Amino acid sequence: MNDRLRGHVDVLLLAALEAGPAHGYGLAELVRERSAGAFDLPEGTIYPSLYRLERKRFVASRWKTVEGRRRRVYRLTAGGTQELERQRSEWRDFTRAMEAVVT
Amino acid sequence: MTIDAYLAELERRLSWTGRRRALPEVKEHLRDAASRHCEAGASPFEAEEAATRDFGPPGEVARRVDGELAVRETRLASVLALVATLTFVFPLYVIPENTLPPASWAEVPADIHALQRVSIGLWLLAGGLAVVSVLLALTRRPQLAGPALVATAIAITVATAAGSAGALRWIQETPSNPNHFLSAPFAALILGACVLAALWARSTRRRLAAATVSG
Repeated sequence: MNDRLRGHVDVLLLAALEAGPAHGYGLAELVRERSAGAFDLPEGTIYPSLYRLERKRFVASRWKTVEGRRRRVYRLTAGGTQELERQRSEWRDFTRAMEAVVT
Repeated sequence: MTIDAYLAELERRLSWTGRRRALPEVKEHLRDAASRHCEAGASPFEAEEAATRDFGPPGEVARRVDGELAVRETRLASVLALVATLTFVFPLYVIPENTLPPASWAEVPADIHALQRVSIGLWLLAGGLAVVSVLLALTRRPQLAGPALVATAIAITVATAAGSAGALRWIQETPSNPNHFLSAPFAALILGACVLAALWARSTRRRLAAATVSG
């Protein structure tokens, strides 16, 4: 399953951030929970993806102290929300077409 | 591998930028993951082993992190290289033109003339290469900008060397000039900066080449 995630990590992270700002570990947990454990992201891939999303200005981040620990918290930007919508729409078209052919 | 051993290995493999950006985050991440494994019943040692294993091999993580950060660095460096190349009009033309003593010859000696032409020609070439590196850095394959950046730095370095040699020859021909002390340290400073820029561009290119960049 994890091999199939390649190329989809960015959109999974954007979708997870839609729920609200979170740090890297929190995002990995959220994706794992939402997929009922099916998507167990290789955790080391999360940060390069987050840096890429930040470079594209789809997410923004800053250090925050939470419960006495300093954490870098990421949040979705307006551009990120638009990008998520675009990717969602593409994904729906793709799954609809796949379903029509495969099932 | 324990968290401390993992972080030490990751630190060893990451670039300076990667260490500054990623290490504190990875440390917090691994501590969170180990806590989760402890809550699930693992011993502290097992929890750290599981957390570091789930995170992935340090070499692979370092390669991906550095690859992504190098994209941003390369884009910034390309713009800086272009700006720097444009400002080289001062050491290569404006400063010599205003500090070198009036020539005592009717016609510029052939060697000085040749050095001036080489210097200006390479400066124009560096400008062109810097523009190319900016354009390449903005594509989906920014690693292609690496060679153009290195070539820009080399062209500027040689242009500066040729310009400095031309200025020194000019001073030799007119030894009474009191201003030549102004140009020598300045040229040395620029030359040093160019060498540093070339070394930096070379290391960035190596990191970019080693990384899988998805744009």
